[in-house]
This record gives sequence, structure tokens and C-alpha cells, in this order.
Amino acid sequence: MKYITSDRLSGFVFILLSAAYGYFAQQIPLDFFSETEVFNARSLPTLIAIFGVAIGLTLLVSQATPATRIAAQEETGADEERPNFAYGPLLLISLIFCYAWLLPLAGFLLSTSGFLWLSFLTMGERRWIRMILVAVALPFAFQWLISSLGIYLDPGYFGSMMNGASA
Amino acid sequence: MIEGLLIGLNTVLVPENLLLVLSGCAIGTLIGMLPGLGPISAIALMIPVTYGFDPASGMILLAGVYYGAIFGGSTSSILINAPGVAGTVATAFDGYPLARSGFAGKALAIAAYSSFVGGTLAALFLVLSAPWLSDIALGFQSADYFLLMLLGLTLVSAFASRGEYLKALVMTCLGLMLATVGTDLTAGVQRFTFGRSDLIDGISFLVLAMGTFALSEAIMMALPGKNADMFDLQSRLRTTNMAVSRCEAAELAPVVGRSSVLGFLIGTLPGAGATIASFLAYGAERRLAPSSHHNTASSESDLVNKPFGEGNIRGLAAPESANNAACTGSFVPLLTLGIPGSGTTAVLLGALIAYGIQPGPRLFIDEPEVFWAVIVSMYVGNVFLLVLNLPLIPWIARLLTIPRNYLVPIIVFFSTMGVYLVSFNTFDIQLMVIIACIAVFLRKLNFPMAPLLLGFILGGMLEDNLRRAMTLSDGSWSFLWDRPLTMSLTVITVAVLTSPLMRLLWQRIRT
Repeated sequence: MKYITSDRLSGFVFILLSAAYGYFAQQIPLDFFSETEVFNARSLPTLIAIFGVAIGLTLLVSQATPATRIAAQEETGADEERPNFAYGPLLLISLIFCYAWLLPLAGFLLSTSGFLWLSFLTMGERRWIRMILVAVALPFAFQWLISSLGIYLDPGYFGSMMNGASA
Repeated sequence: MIEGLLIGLNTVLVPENLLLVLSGCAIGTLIGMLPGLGPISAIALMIPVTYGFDPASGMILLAGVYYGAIFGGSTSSILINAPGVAGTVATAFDGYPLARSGFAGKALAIAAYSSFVGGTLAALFLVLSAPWLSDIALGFQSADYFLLMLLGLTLVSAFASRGEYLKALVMTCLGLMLATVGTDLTAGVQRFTFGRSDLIDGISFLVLAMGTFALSEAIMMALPGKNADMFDLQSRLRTTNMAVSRCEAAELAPVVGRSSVLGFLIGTLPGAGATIASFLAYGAERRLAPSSHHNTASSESDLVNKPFGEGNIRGLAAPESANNAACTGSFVPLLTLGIPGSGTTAVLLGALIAYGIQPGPRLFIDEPEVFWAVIVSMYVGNVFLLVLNLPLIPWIARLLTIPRNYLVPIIVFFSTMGVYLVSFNTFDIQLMVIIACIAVFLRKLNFPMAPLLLGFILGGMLEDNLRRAMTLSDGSWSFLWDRPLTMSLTVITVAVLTSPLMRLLWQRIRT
């Protein structure tokens, strides 16, 4: 276990990725004429896969062993940074996914206002009036700017329904 | 030539057209500053507006938007490490660390001066050398283009931090892999789409750029431990100083001169453009920097001595002057040959055709006022950019004084909209988020993102030129060494690729 470092693990993962890429490169369908050509749709992917495996192997074997790394860290006073994930970014990522899903349904204004408000909340903002003002004003200002440039933003399924009801 | 310049001056120096240059620069700067909206988006957005103008006025406005967007992109690269376009990725290498160190105002001022000098020198070169430069670029063959792109990719070692050479190569390789996703236009077959119709056209550059830069930066900002840093940056920005000392100006003058010439020459090559120019200029300056420049330094007077990638002002001035010079250079093949030198000039080509003008050698003769008006407007645009941007720098630099609680969601919103407004496809947003998550993980493991983007951008062009070169040489690799130019490029590329590996091997043998 002591020889497993994040760099070596990265090298190993990249070898696997390159091998999988090379495998799928060989599955690219070619017609008879393409197969006889000196350069076809498989050529560059095959070269990239070979290069990728070579680079991954070099990364795997060339990294410093833990003993030399610890010595280097002691010398420089550096500490290896560990990935540090928290709920905030995860919530933010989930919100973007939901926003993408809601855009065609709820329309630009509604989904963007909701997304911004929840994002501000996720980031720790608690000044309610300012938060709501920004979440509502920004999408309206953006839509005005975009529509003045001649770009139409879909009101979404709910927006169309509401327009239909008001008409 | 003098007669042509007079025609250009006569067309540009009328109040309406001067107003168009000014408006173009202002709109371009504002749009270019928004992460995700680069010159391509800005020009594409403005083309419908120009349909009511005469062709010369339309092109004057679009040229202003182009320069403004490039400068605006540099501003967002420096302030929030979110380059909207590939041409300003290299600007972020040293510009962002400078902003983080509390020199945001100085970084923006250096970017403005370098862009101005780069653009001005390039406009002069364009006037003097357009006819014969286009002949040289026309003489380049597929093998030369392939090797030039390969050299650009191997030079990623120059962009990576010390000890990160292999990681930079891994990222380049990953970028090339992503570039092959989609339909192979020559054979008409789908590659790596796994049956998904959303991937038939490949991965959009904007999706990848936004995912790896703007969005991943926003997620990194939201990570614990970044709060203090952001607060610190904001407090430093409030007391930012724009002054560039005489010593720094003297140090930067040769850098800007060299980079402008390099940028202009690279810009004239069809397909090369501002991205390669800025990366090559950065790499060249990094290599030319004296060994003493690798010392760590912290005071303002030592900004020229800081290591590259940690806030060296030479590392900021070089790509800035080169990308502006390359923008001007990219007009050479567009105006004289009708071949776009970059994605942005491809959009401009579309605009010219929409105006009923066919760019090419006859543009000189048939539409002299359009040809010379564009050239003169480039210089006038550069003057306006300097006049417009320098006084606005203190206000522009306050962008990051927006509280983090608001800034992060707003960056996310603009990144999302930048991607969504191009395709109106929510799959692109989801793909961007996935790419951003992977990018955050890779950044935590010290993998550089710029080589990924460069590999991705050059992947398609690299394949086209390799295919042509291989076909012409009947499947033989002899095109790599059968002419002095290709031989020289091959030797340089191999030397750049193997020297760090040899050094690494030598260190391993010694230890």
C-alpha cells in the first residue's frame, strides 16, 4: 500500500482510460473503401490511445516513492493536499442539474429566479430581501438584454400555459 | 498603399463610423467579460444588428466587437480565472495569480498596455506586409500545419509547473481524445457517441471551456477553505494600484515587441490564430527568462522576478500582446485569401458573405473601402480600447468585491447561459456540470487544465492535416523530414517532447 500515491493512481487510471479508448477506437465502423485508405476514422484515435498508454505508464513508473516524497515534503515544508469535498458544492451541482431540467418546463424567468435564490441560500446568504431582489431582478435584466439583441428565450411549458390562460 | 490608407481613414474618421468603433469596443468588452461569451458569441450576436449598415460600417463595428471581446476576456481571465475564449487562457496563468496577490489593477493595466502595443504593431505590420505574408501562408502545406500544431501541443510542457510535465501531457492527450468525439466528417461515421444523438456534433468548445474553467472555478470557490482567500482578494482589490513602474515598463518593452511579432506571424497562418500565438509567446518568454527569474519573490518591485505561473508580469504581457497581434494577423488570410484564420474570423467571413462581399484577392480591387476601413478601424479600435479601458479599470476591478455568496451563483448562471444560448440544449448544461466535477477533482490533484483545452481545440485541425499529409505521401511518414522546414519542425518537436523525459530519467538514475 505504501507505493500507492495519488499520482501513481492517476497514471493507472489513465492507462485504463486509454486502453478503453483504444478498444472503442477499434469498434468504429468502417466501410470497405475506408479500410483500405492510408488514414481513416480509426487512425488518429489509435495513435492517441498508444500515446496515452505510454504517458500513463511513464507517470506510473516515474513518480517519486513515498519515502523520497516524505523527504521532499520535510525539506520544503509542503503538505500533500487532500481532496476536500463538502455539502455546499454538492448541493450547488445538484441545483444546476435541476435548473437544466426545469428550464424547458418552467421557462427562463421562473427557473432562473428559483435557481439563483436557492443558490444564494446554499452559499450561506441569509439577507432575505436583498437575496430575493437579486434573484428576481437579474433574470429580468438578462432577458431584456437578450431580447433587445433579438434572441428569444422559451417561456417554458408553464409559461405557455399561463399565457394561454391569460389570453 | 498610401492611397489605400487614405481611403480607409476617409471611411473610418466620420462621426457615425467612429461611434460604431466605440460602441463595438464597449459592447465587445462587456460581453467578453462575461464568462462563456467570447468574441465568437459577441460577433454572432451583433451580426443581425449590422444588416442595416453598409458593409464597411458593419465590418468596422464587428472589428471593434472582436477587439473589445478579446480584452474583456482577458479581464475575466485575470480577475476570476474564467477565460471565455481559448485565446485568453494563457493570460490567466500569471494574470490570475497577480490578482490574487493584490495586484489586480496593475495586471489589468499591463494587459491594456500590452494589448494596445500588440494591436498597434500588428496593424502596422498588416499594412506593410499583407500582400507577401499571405503568399507565405499560402505556401504552407498540410505537413507543415500538422507539425506546427504538434509543436504547439508539445510546448504544453512549457506551460506546466515544474514536475507537472507528465500531467500536462496526460491532459493534452485527454483533450485530443475528447476532440475525436462526434461524427468524423471525412468518413461520415460516428465515433465515441455511444448512440447518443446529443454527441453527434461532438463536444462544444464552450461546454469544455466553461466546465474546466468558469464552472469548476465557481465550485472551487464554494469549497471550504476558499472563503478566507476570496475575502482576502476582495479586500486587496479595494486598494488596487494601477501604476506600472519605469523599471517594469523597461523590462516589458522587449517582451511585448517579441510577442507582437510572434503573434502577428502565427495569426497570419490559417487555423493557427490567437490561441497558439498566446501559448507560444508565453512558452517562449518562460524559456527566455533568466534563471534568476525562478526565484520566489513577494514584494511589488519583484513582480518581474516571480516564477512563471505565480504572477510574473512578463508572463502576462507576452500572451496579451501576442493574442491581440494574432487577432490582427488573422485578418490577413481572411481579407486577402478568403480563408478564416480562426473561429472568430470564420464568423466574420460569414458576415462578409451576408453583406454580398466575397473575400479574396479581388477584395483589394473591388471593395477597397471595406478592406482599408477594416485595417484602419483596427488601429482606431485599439486607441479606443486603451482610452475606454484604462479609466474604467478601477471599476472593472471591483467585479470581485461582489460577496462570494452572490458571485458564485452569478458565475454559475452566466456560464450556464453562455452554453445554453448557443445550442438551447439542456444536455450541454448537464455535460458541462459533469466536466466541471471531473475538472475540480483533477485540479485538486494538480492536473493543469489549459493543455486539455489546447489539445481539444487543435485535435480536429491536427487530424485533418495529418490525413492530408498521409494521403499525399501515400501512407509514408517521410513527410516529417523530406523538406528543410518539416525537418526543422520535427527536430524541435522531438527535442521539446523528450528533453524533460530525459531529465526525469537522469534524475531517477542518479537517485
